[in-house]
Amino acid sequence: MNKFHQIFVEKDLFNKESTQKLLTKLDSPVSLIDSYEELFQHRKKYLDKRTKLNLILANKKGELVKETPPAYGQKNEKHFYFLHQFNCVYECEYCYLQGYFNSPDIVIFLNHEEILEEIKKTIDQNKGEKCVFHAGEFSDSLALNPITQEWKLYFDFFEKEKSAEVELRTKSTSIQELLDIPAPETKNIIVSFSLSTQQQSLIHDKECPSSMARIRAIERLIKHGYGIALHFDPIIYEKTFFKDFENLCQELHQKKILQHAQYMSLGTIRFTPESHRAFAKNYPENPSLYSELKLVKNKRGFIEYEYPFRNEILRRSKEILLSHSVPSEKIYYCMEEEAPSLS
Amino acid sequence: MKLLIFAHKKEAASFLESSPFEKVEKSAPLKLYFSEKLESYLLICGQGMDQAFENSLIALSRYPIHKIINMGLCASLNKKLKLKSAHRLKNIYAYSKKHFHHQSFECKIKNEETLNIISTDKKLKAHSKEFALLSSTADLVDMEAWSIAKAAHKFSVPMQAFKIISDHGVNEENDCTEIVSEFKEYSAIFWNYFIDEENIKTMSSSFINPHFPKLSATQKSLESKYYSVIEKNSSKDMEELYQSFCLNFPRGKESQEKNDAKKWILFLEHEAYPLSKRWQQKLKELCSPLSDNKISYLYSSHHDRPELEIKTTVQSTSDYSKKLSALQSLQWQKIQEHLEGKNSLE
Repeated sequence: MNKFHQIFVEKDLFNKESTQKLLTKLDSPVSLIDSYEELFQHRKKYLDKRTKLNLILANKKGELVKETPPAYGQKNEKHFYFLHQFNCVYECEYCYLQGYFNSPDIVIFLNHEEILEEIKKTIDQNKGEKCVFHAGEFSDSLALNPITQEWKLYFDFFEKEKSAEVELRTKSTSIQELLDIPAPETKNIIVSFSLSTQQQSLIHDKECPSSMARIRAIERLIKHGYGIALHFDPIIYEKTFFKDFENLCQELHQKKILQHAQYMSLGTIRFTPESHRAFAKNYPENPSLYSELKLVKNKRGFIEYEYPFRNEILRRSKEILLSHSVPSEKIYYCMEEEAPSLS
Repeated sequence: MKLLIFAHKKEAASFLESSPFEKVEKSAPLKLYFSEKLESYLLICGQGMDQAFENSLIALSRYPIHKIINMGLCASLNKKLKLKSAHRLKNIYAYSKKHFHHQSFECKIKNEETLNIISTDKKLKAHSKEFALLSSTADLVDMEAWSIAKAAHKFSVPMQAFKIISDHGVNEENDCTEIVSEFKEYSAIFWNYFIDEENIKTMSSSFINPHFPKLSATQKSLESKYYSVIEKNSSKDMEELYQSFCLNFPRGKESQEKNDAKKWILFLEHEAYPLSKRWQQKLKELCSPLSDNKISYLYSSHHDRPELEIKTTVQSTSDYSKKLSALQSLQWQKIQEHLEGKNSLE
């Protein structure tokens, strides 16, 4: 993989077997650093990732597992995310990472054993409740998998921890490691794909596999025996949206993906004020596609569609899913504290 | 006026020879020149970050500058870049005392091949750890660009920068005399760049044209809204939008300028949020029995709920009856559906 301009490795990690194994898959120049923060904390423009994307190999210090914001996943479950990577090689125009970190450089954390210990602690502290652990909050969980190949370790862990669930969120088609692992016997390992209409994925998801390619990857994973989930998020409204979404659902139904999906979420496009500022700066040529977005001064303080429009978009999208025989209980609205009514 | 900034006089030699530049402050130490023909000031800011900042700041504070062009030599952090190759800059970072400075600046150049630069007072040794660290962020390194950009930022003046690679970092084989002997050649490249690029457009030029309606002194509170709707429409042809506004709302006399500005903002808002405006219009129609009877209503989208706040004052029994019947005549079912967004996207 020649994607990286330079690779920086924390000194303490350099001689470790896992580090060396990973470095053999890359051919960019390598430099040693004391701590990833010395590089990652200085301001670097987001779009520098196009020409000067560096990779940093580090150990994550501090919090390794965090509770998600409300309405992140299905109700009646406790949701957490774990931090095993920062940033993404893809360049989705609406990505909130563009206003989140100081730098777009990729950080891969290699202390997986410590992360798993922390996950175990969290499960033990929440006995009696179903805990769902999400990977991919600050990165795409599979995009760099050809070089990281960390999931076998996690799957072995979760096969023993049957009361908990792990969800890998992705837009990637790099699924070879998952196909090389024998199909998990338990149902608590979910690979979830963010999907948008084919037209929108081509326009907005720069450097990403198209929706069509993602659908092919989903089919292969289902065939292999994985549990899958779908996130129709972010929905960007335009005049042809419902027609395009209907076509997408029809295809997913024909390929029996909707029937296999364990759950699916719907969410409309939203930005924090910081990420919206970055978005406006990074993509000034963007058409008036996002024109109805406003700073909605509700509790979340997002720049998003106002309530009536959000409500209508989600309601009608849900109706389309229901019309393809998806049970209502499998659908949830992402990041909507009070779910809009379905009248 | 443009302000052309060089660190060394030799880099500016072609300019000083090609056009009649005169020293502006003859007895002052500031090396600032002016050419009427080129409508430009030329500053020799000196080498290093402190000098560059101080001298740029003085020039900007004393003279009417609307654009800065910094030209100069730099080192390359990227071995693939050739010596003597010339590059336009995009992002400008700074590095001092083993830390990257938190502030960075951006040259506003459209659709050009650009590189990033880091300014530092430190002489970088090729193959050093710092050399590798800096090359993670930029391809070029110099001693002045960041300080000049910082001064430009203080005065909100847009900046462009153009650098020529003179070396690949300090090493034992480096021979500075070679660089000095080639100043003439470098200066000629700068001159050609300036001539070619004089008309380059910067993105920071305002979208607000002088003939658009202006906000009055008492309308300062509308200023951020004005900028926000302008920004929302910035992907459109503003001049075309303005023509369409004038057709629909002929401009008033000077005394009506205040109203024109308000109408213009509303017009732009409508353009930026067509669904929202249509939705509000429909709500107005549905609630017309209220407004006809002096009952005010307010929908706040910030509550994320389908609810309407209704306010009125009752002055007599007959007034009470009148207002009550207005409330009773409302089509609540339809209003609720509307507040929930039903058919709002049609």
